[in-house]
Formats: sequence, structure tokens, C-alpha cells
Amino acid sequence: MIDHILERIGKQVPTQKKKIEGFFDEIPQARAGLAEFLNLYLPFMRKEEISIDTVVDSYLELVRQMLHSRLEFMRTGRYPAHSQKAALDEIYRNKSTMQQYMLGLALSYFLWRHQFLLLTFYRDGIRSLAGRQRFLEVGCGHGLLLVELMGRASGKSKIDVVDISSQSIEMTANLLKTSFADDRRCEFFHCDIFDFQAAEQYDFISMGEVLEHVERPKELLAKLAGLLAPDGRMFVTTCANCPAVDHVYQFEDIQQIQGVIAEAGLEVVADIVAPSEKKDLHYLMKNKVDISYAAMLKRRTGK
Amino acid sequence: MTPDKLQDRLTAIVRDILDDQTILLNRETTADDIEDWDSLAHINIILAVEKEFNIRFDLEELKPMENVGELLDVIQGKMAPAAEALGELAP
Repeated sequence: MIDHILERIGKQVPTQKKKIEGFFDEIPQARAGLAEFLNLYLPFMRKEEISIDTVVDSYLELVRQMLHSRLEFMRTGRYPAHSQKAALDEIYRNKSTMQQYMLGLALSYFLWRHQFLLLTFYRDGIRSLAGRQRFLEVGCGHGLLLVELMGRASGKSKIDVVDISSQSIEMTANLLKTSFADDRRCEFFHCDIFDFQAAEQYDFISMGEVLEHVERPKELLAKLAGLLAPDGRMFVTTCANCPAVDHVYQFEDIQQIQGVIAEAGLEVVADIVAPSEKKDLHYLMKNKVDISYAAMLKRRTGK
Repeated sequence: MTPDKLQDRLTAIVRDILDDQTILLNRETTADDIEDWDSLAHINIILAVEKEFNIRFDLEELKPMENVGELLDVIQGKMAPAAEALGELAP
């Protein structure tokens, strides 16, 4: 099936296939990870009557949109998305658009070097969750990080999941029904995270690919810092110079991201910087290459 | 502009973007033949071509091209109306 995926990608975008094959040569675990991902998603796809070609085409549409966004970004210096509200109206509330977007994004975790590195960082980070029982996931999206978390969290855990998109919640809930049938650890909340009222503080908060989608990332991090238990940990990913149809906040470099984290009252415990291209710093800056960033955070001491 | 001259200028652009002065292009060359010609490089090449020839690509024209010959034809096609408007149409 992996060969079929690569062949279908290569037929439409040969440069993508070449890039993915180079990535698989460099990190063979990614190809194995893709096989595991397919095993996880196939029962869900069968139930939802989604073919593997639909998933690949969703990915190709994501690539097409990202290339368009990048061209616009390089011409104007600005992200093409106008506002958080526009993204909500045009994408997050549109079932077919959102499903296509999420399927493509989920697949990208195993086809793009920087996405796979972030996922690996996350997997390493949640290995030591023993004793932690109160979890919060913000922006479940395609459900991939939540599935990973559920695989690590104890049977007594309570996992609150907040997403502004009902489509994301539906997709993730359906994915869990096939992967974790009769598992009642998760409770979903369909709302803006700024409106979310938590009943308690959390031992672990996970928020992948959300910061760049909001207009006030510092305020969002500060809100989550308040929801984090004193000895809790928070996993966050975002990116700099990463134009996309629904990316609103434009981080220009990693230092700016780290600055916002500090201003929100958080401290980096561990982090990873993952450019989308394996190039030297000069090339990355000259071409404003998309750089992904993930960090494990804690509340700043003294706050 | 003659086809050879146009090809030379495109070659110079690709060499600069990919930072490789040994690259040689002909009409049959594909992105697959050039090691670093990936999706991002393609965008950067298109942007440099727009600047060099004072033309603009539509988003739909970003789709992968069959080979360098197709890219040269698109560039030539976009340059012709501009040159005509300036009364500088090449013979």
C-alpha cells in the first residue's frame, strides 16, 4: 500500500515523491511509522467509507494549497489567511473541507521529515506520564496525537478534549471508536478554548498545531498556563514562516515563538526545531523556509 | 528573445536558486533529473523567473510541468503579450 501511495503522489507531483523517498532513505522508521498509521486508520476509513486514494488525494490537495499559500507569502511577505473567523467559517465548519484537510494533514506526519520529527518528539515526551491522570488536549484535529496519548495514559485517566471544529471532534471520536472501543476516558468539548471552563487543573496539556491558527497566541498560552498543575507539563507545536490557508499568526523565527512562551509564564523543558528542508541556516533564512517547533513546557518557577 | 537565450537565462536562475553552477538544462530535463529540485525549490524558481522576465504565474500554473521545455514555453507565452504591448515583439 505504501508503494501505491508513493506512486499516486508521484504521478501528480513528482517532486513530492522524490522528497518523500529521500526522507524514507534518511529515516527508515518513518516508512515503518506510515505502515503503523495505516493499520490504525484503515478500520476507521473502512467504517467511514474513505478509500486510501481519497486520503492520498486529500494530501495532494493539502500540498497544492500549501504551495499556493507559499507563493503568495513569498510575493507579499504575509500569510494569505485574513482572520481566525474567516478560517472558522471557510474551513473548520465545512465538513468535507475539514475532513479532507485533516486526512491530508494526518498523512503528512509520515511523509514530511519535520512532521515526523515532531511526532517522534511527542512520543518520547509522553513516555513518562506515570502517575499523571488529568489530561487536556486542545485542538484534536485528525486525532493522531490523542490516539498516541490514549495509548500511554493509564486506565484511570480523564482526558478532556477541546476543539472549535465540530467536524474535528466527530472525526476524532469516530477514530477512537475503532481504535479504543468502549473506552470512556475522553470527554469532548466543542468550543473556543478561550471560552472553555475547566473544572480542575491538568497534569498534562497537549496542543499540536494550534498557536499559528489564533490571533492571540500569547493569551492562549497564558490561559493554558493557568490550567496547568504546578508540576504539570504542556506539549506545544507551532511553526515559523509556514503559510497555509488557515494560518493566521505569523511567527518569523523560533526566537519569537520562545519569546511568546516566556511572556505567557511558561518555561521550556525540552524542545526541537525542525525545518521542512534539510538545508543550512543561510538557505533557510534566504528562502523563508517553513520551520516547525515543538516544546515540552512547564509553568515558570515563581509565577 | 531566442529560445537558446531564454534557456540560458533559465539555467542561470536554476543554478542560483539551487546553488549549483554545474547544472545543465535542456528541454527534456525534468525536476527528477536535478537532485535538489523539489517542491520548495520549484516555488523559488518560479518566483525568480517572475522577477527576471517581469511576468506573473497564475496559481493553477504552479502544477508540476512535464519538463523544462514546457516551462520555457509557458515563459515564452507570457513574455510575448508583454513584449507586444511594448512594441518590442521579437522577429
